[in-house]
Amino acid sequence: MNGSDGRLPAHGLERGAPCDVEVDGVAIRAFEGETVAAALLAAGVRAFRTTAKRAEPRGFFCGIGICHECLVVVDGRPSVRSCLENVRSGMRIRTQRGWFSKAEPASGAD
Amino acid sequence: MVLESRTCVRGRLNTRRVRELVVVGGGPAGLAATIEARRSGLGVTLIDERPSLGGQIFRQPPAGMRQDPTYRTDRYHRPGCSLISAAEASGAEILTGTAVWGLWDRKVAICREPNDAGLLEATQVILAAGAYDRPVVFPGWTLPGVMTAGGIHTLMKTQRIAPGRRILIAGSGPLLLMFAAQLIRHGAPVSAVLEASPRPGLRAFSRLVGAAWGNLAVLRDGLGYLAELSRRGVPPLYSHVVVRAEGAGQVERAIVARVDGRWRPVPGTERALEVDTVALGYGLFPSVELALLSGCTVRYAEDLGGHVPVRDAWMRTTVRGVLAAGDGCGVGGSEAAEAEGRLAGITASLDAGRITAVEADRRAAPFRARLRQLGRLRAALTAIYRVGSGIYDLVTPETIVCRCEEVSAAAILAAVRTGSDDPNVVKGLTRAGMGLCQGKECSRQVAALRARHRGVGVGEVPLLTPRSPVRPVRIGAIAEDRSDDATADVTG
Amino acid sequence: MPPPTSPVDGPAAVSDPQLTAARESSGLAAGRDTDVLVIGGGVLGAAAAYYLAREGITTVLTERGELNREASGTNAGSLHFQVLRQPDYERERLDRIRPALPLYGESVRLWRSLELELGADLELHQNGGLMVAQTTEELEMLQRKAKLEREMGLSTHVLSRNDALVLCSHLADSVVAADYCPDEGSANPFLVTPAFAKAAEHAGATVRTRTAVSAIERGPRGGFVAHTSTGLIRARRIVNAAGAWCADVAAMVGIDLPVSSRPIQVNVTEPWAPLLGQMLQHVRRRLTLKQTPVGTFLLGGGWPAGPVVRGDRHQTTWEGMNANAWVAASVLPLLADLRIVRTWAGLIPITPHSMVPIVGECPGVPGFYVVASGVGFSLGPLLGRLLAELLSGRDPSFALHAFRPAGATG
Repeated sequence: MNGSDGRLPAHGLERGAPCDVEVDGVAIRAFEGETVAAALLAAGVRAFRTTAKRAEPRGFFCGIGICHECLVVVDGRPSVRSCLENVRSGMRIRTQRGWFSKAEPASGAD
Repeated sequence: MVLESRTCVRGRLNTRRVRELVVVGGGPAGLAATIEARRSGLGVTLIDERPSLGGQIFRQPPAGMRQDPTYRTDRYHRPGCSLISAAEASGAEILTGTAVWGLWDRKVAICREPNDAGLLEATQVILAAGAYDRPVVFPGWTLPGVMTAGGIHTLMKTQRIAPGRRILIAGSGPLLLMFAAQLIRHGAPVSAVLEASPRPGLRAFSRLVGAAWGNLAVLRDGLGYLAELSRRGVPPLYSHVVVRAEGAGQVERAIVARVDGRWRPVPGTERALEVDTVALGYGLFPSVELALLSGCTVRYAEDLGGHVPVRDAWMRTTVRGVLAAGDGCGVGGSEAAEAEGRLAGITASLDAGRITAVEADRRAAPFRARLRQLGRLRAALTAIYRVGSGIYDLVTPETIVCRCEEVSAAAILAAVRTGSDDPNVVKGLTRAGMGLCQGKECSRQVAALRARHRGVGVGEVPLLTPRSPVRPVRIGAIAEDRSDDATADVTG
Repeated sequence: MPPPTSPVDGPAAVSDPQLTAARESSGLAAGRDTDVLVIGGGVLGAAAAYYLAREGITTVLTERGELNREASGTNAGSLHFQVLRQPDYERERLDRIRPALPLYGESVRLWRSLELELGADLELHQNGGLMVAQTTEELEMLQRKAKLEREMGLSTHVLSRNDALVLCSHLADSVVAADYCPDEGSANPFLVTPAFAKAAEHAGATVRTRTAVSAIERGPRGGFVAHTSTGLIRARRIVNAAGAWCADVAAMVGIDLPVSSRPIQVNVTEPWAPLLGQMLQHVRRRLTLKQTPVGTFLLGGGWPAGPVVRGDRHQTTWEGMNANAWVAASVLPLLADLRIVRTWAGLIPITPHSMVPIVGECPGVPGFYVVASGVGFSLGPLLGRLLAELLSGRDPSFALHAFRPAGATG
């Protein structure tokens, strides 16, 4: 593995251009063509959200968009399946707590 | 190669035209069906929810990444690319990024987020919806770090990302070997590989030899995977399963145990493995939601992954005009899926009167022969990797079974014990199955709990009422003004 | 309000198997010889059984399938206390429903005390209902409606757009006014009938599920013998609470009841942050819209479901989803971003006038009572109570002669 990053040697797959992406206010490495889930996992972020009733952490599970566990808030949009959403430069990702409304508080406090 | 997906906007898509054939699913079965049907001149609309064709096994790298066309990720890459090219060149109408969420009498409900939806009327439909990873329920399975082997495999294959530093892969069957070996080849840090079934003995090998005709490449691959695992110090640990995942907020260790021939943990054999990722590779469940919605008769076959549509030798289901092919009818691998897809495309052509019965037989013959060969291999593998009933008995009362609605096994059992046979009652009382995954991850385990209570097999308890949408659909996409219906009155 | 059972671990059980088993083993006549036999395990039947048992009347409740699987368990949980959407609000039509309106006022009060009475969490919310208008014509309809409601003592009033926005800030720009009923709201249909059934058993009633009545013999000197799939039941009196199948059961004693049924569909969204506290309706279009305690939105309004395809359940349809979605999003535009995750269908009974129930003894067949309603979920508890008052020989607290079944005997 390359250093502390979950990215492996590319072996025939050329990554896209680097992207500026932040998670809960912190910048992480990302490349065009990666899904949000992949970028999060590569950065060592594995708890993508906490559940509504028991506030338990959940993350990437099925990888194909059916389990709806990998949900994060993307640019203010809640319940986005990170395994299907591609990163974009300037994207602001937040780990999701329960179910959010569209009008998110700017401070990040809930 | 980076494939462009065809765009389709409601304004341009003519939903009024009746399609001769709609193929749901762009994996090997759907691609093959499209090619064969187009060969007969049948009008075909091929629909897939992903941005590019190929399904899971032929999954293409995302736009933005470039794949070196000379690099072979695996044995499936080139045949996959050639099937995709042939389908694209066939003249079929191809709708990617488009989910099929309902099916009524061959009227196919589609949705392309964010704002497009429509109803396509078809004379015939081929369901080739594929399969998804079998969810296995045990304490701690909801912890971040527990994921499906298919999910990890896709991360690796299309994005070269490893989700952890010490990966345990637990499961069973030939796919387990393939996933594990490919992960290792790409440099993923695999700590251990667990196979639930016992080490194949002489009888198993002789069965495999007996099935070798036409299947040498697959067998060679399998041996290659085994050798790779051995070489890297992670040979499969036979007769072992994960019984628990533990950690504060994410996986920090996995508790594994030896199992008997029915995959039931042997008391006193538990031990802890310090891993941060658990990949579940216990095979696949066929996606049968659309088949059930349309009223197809199904039967239960554990080793095919569960309920599968009953079909005749020509891939026809029990519903007129609805055919089905591929892993969505019982997991058999991509080659079988392709062969079945070819048969389905030929049958659709025959049933549409485009080819004669004689020509249909002629075109079908090589694919039938291939299916027979593959069938022998599948029978041999099933004997080795038979799914043990213990797979459903790893839950404890506190285990969360319905992940979406956070419903424990204890709550489900309390509802089961009210004595009702009706699965909808258990669902109504506990909310298990009401969440965003629409029961895909929990309903088999709930059925197993009901079956255990009644003392019958998992496949013998009644199914939940099939309902559309089979995918969540955005209101903004499907909302349609039907003012007359909206103001209609029934009585005073 | 009693402490709710943990939503994580599921609500009250359908009925108490231990009680039933104890009762069944206590005597050969237990559940076989009764004063009143209630046929139908929905909210009307279960409520009737509860109130009857509370009066000390020996009661058996039979249900041919599982409790609460038909209209009572498949509706959208709306509590309707204002006058429903009508094709028009002409006087003649309104005069027909006038006698029933006091029932709704009393139902409001009964619902408010129900959780305490039954000792169960029903997820009851009575935070108000808004029936909206989007055009001047619709506003006039609202005003005619509100006038009648005031005459009848229902506490509704027409709010201006600005006032409506104070209650629900997410209403669409096109909403010009709303008829506000402060007592409207919702409860969870999965919980209400089971709570009544459990309370009925604790009060002494016998509940028999998977017991289908196939024939009813009338005794020479009164009384009835019901032939069921689990044996005979002798009853002095019968309450027909069979919902969509009322007419079938009435036909067993030669009565022609004007109760039919139609399949309806409900749509549910993904969970969202709490944004809607009221139940929304539309004065002219089919719509009920509410947000549940878990955050999902229920879209209903009586949209027709499709035919039966598999088993005995009606299909939910493309039209039932997309048209319902359109009306809902036209009133609450934020819904456009939400996804529909589930749909279901059920059969609801239709009486000649939707707001007017049928309650009372059938002429020509003494001892045979009927209770039926097209708004059964809202009125169910009260109708059950009134029936029990009637059968206990007291003067019921409401005049019921306007609701007597008028069916002729054959």
